[in-house]
Amino acid sequence: MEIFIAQLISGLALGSIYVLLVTGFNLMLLVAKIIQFAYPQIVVISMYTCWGVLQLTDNKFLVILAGISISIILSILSEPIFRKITSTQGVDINVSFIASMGMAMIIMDIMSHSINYGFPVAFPSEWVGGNLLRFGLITVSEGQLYALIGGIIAVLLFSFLLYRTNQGRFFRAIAENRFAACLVGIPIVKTSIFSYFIVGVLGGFSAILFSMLIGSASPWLGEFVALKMLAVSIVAGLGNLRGGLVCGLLLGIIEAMAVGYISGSWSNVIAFVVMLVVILIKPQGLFGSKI
Amino acid sequence: MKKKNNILEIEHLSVTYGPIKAVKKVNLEVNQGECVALIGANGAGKTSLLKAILGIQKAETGNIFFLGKDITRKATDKIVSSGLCLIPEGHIIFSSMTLLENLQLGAYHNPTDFDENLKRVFNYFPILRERSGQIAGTLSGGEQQMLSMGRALMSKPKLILVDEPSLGLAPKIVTDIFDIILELNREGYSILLAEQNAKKALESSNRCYVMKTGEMAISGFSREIIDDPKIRQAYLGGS
Repeated sequence: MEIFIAQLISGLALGSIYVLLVTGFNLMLLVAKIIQFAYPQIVVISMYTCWGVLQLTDNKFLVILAGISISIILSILSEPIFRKITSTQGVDINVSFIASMGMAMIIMDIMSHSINYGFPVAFPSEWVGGNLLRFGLITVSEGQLYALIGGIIAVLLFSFLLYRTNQGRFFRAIAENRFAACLVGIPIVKTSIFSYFIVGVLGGFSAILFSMLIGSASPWLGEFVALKMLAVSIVAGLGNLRGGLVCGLLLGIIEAMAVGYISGSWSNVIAFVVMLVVILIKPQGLFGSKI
Repeated sequence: MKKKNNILEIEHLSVTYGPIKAVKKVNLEVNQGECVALIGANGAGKTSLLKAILGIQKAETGNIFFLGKDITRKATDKIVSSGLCLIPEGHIIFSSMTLLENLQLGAYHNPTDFDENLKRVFNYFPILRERSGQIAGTLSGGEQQMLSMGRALMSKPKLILVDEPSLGLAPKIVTDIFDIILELNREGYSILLAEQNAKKALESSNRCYVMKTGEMAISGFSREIIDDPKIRQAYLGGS
């Protein structure tokens, strides 16, 4: 039971990061009409930024600010490229997929060539919160706890934005029916640029939580995460925000349980076997595709 | 500078989709307070014309003036905020949202007198008030058309473009919808009504234009055209 609860906490922490990633990915898919495969790479760059700033200062606030800013800047910088692609007539969404894969490769190669000689970077223990906390027989690390709390807060805040504010309603309107959104006079391009901003914020949050949870970053991390992000959004149903929430948390828990009860090295296999089975049984995803 | 009573004026407007010329050098005007019918068979270019007015479809040549200003190459959101709106064919709504959310989205450019506008819309369509919390996708076709109209009215437009309001609806509901269009016109809204159902459209309009394969075939006062057997025979399928 103690293992179960400890793994559940770590699974929820990991899962809430997946939720942030999948949500950002889905937002891009629905509002900007692109497949943003490079999104996790932006998250990793932002982790590297946090690491770099941590070499210079101990001020956690500055580190967080730097991480989130870089993510926002990169996300917004990619907007004109994607807008050019999507506004050209006769170009389908797969072109944005290829373009973003290219971006992901470029970012990965830059990291592996020029940062820390291509070696993975380790975050200092005062950032990760390596101290173990004991609640009775349950042991969790501080980092896991922060990631869990931060993840839940971020998911709640984003859900509030999406379902309780005007801006969120504009996002949902464009996602659901672009033509009707156009008719009521929602400025599509402006709203789309704002979605890149929001996705940048989500990416920055994910980077900070991720660095606290796993304590390191490597140039290859982005690709692993990108595959999982894609897998979760397909299993949930492409563009299905609520589905992404449930499936992101589930994937985190499944992986954590695999680590706790079987062996850490099997967690990817188990996650992707689950994905294959779901795709075979329900090709539209568990919650139904929205595009 | 255009004449004052002229709310919409279109000059030599052409719209093309690749090799297909959907609208060919069309002229049209709507005066303040008028209800103008745009009649033509399926594929005559009515919808393309309306979409071009709203900037959704690019105008190849020609100019569109709204309230004396050239809006030909403006972005759709700018055009909508200047007081034009389109009620599209086939009741296009945000079906996963509630009725109220649909109406809130309609007020995108006019959020200040939201409550007042909402009250007016509910007066036209009492059914929408009863169901304001319901998910829009669960409404019947006629109710969805009413929601689509209500959403457009939330922006307090100066000119309403209506595209095929009768499409796919039961005759009884079509009559209701046309009554509401007439009522809106009586209350001072200027309306441009595109419709295949020539009889209905002529009965509810002051003037009309008849389109045929992208060209403006005839135009005139609806009452005269409805009485002219030759025109009815040639353009309106003898109906």
